[in-house]
Amino acid sequence: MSAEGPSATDSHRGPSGANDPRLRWYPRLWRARYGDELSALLDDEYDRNMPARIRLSLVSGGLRQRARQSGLTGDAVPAADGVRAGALVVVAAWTAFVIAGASFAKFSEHFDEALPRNAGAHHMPDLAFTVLQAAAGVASILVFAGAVLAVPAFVRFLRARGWVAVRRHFVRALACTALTIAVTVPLLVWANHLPPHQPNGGMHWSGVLFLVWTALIIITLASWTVVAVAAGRRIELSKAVLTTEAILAAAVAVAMLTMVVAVAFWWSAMATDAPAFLHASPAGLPGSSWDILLVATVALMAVATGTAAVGVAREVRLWTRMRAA
Amino acid sequence: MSLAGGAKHGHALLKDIEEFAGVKLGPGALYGAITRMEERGLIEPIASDDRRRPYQITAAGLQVLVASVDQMRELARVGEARLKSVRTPRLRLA
Repeated sequence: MSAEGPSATDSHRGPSGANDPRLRWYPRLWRARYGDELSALLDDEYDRNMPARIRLSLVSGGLRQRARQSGLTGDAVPAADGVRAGALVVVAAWTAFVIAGASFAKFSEHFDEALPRNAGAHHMPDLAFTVLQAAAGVASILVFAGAVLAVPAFVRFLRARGWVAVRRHFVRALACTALTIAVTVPLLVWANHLPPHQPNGGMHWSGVLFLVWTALIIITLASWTVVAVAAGRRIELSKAVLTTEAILAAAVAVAMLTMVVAVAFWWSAMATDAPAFLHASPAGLPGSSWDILLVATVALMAVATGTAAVGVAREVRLWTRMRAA
Repeated sequence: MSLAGGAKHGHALLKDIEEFAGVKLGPGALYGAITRMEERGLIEPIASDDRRRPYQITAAGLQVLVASVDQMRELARVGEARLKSVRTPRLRLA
């Protein structure tokens, strides 16, 4: 049977599919299987002048294949891998939530002092903040328990020369950590020598320094999450351990949702009883309750919680299939 | 549906689909569909020394296609019947 289409005589113009930079968004395994033919198709159709629409199609196609191969979508991988992918989505979402949580902790510092003296005004913000702290504590313990549970499998993975697969991510995370420590230590020393009435040392660029430091912290957290996800995708987990990890991940997602609700109640109560606190102005002055930092923080919390919910939905959907397998 | 007319590789599939359906698929969308259909056993590659690997429809793929075409035919029949009942009163009004 002969295939229709252009002749094969000029079919070796482009690079091999596995190394074709146009297919860089596709996962390595997929490129090994389909890369050559897609590369040939791109040579036939567009040569070297690919329109933006086609580039976008390749980016979107590549990301979809990555999602499928990691078990996040579709049914290309065994159900157990899909459940594991769902749990890892929750881990990644948790990192984003921790970043938002740190921002909220900084924003809400000393909120109690801004509330009116009467006991009624303290009740709702205090209760919401206590619920938030309790949920954060529970979620941290759950994440820690999940990590401890995976340690034996991780050790087996390292002994089986799995180190090679995560080395690149690990070295990057280690370098980020070293850089963050190298910046944090002199920053702390400098900050500790400042007089209390001059928290920024009288220097206008201290804000930029703080932003750079914050970015470093975020990048470091994200790079360790990448290590956790890269290792988590590869380690061999028994069905019982995977089930427990999935339950822990679902519980973390519930804790995240609880925290978002608690923050919403806290925000609403503060807007009613101490609106000046939300826009950092002296008490009694009018102003908006929609502080940009708080809005961004809560938005990040909500997005992280939504992402975790997607991960849990994936777990639940594949749960039955995994148990039957 | 394109492969029901004979084996084709990616480039030929794009051209054929554009011709009979009027849809210009992006390469990402085409190969996403090829990947899914091959995994589900609806199409299969034909051995080839060329970089352009041709695909053909399988027996399972034919069954699914027949069912899909039947469903489309039924939809078209119902649509046509309902359109007739809409057109008739308008004609009477005119």
